[in-house]
Amino acid sequence: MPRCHTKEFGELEFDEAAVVHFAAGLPAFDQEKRFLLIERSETAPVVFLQSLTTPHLLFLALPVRFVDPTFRLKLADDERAALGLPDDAALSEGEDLVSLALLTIRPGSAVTANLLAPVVIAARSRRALQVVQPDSGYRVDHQLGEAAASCS
Amino acid sequence: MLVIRRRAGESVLIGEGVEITVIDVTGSRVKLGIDAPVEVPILRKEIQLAARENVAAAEGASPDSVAMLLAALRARRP
Repeated sequence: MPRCHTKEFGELEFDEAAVVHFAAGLPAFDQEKRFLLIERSETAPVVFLQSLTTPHLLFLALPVRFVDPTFRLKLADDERAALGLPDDAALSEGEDLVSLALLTIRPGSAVTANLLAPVVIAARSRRALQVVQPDSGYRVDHQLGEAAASCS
Repeated sequence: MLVIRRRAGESVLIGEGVEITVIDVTGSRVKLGIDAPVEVPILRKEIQLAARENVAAAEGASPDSVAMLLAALRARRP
């Protein structure tokens, strides 16, 4: 099994099936095309995207539906094509694709989740894309717990 | 902020060498054509927002922050 150096877990053996491919990289990280998706029961529901090219590059993420149960993803035709998803078929979150909100932890302030630009992973092809959701009203720095607070 | 009304086919000039043309307007969407020197970066604003947030997200991801995050999530869902 291939091995890689990680920021959080030391050296890790990984299964090629856990690798996700960002053909276009991510905004600000254009050259980062291969990440390992790490899901561990002791850190659930938090998941990790560890770069396979840069050991110190790690993203923490939560499923978008955990952050906001009403979250609705919109994919443009070219985004579906980039992910290798069929044009018209209805897509099921968790089955056809996994949408993750990247988390930002700033010292001394609340944790925020990026709902404006979720990372979308196509389950079958393992292709991934950070998809900006224009006109959605979602924020790049959605405060965790915000929705719950406004409901109470 | 300077506000200018333009119709499809009309342009705005910004500084030396930047021209923005309204190509088409459909419903709430505007298609713009931009002519600019190669050294002028052109970015959809939300991509720039995402890029900045990605940099902040990568900086904030440390072993300490994982523990802090898990503690915060447990506090949120007692």
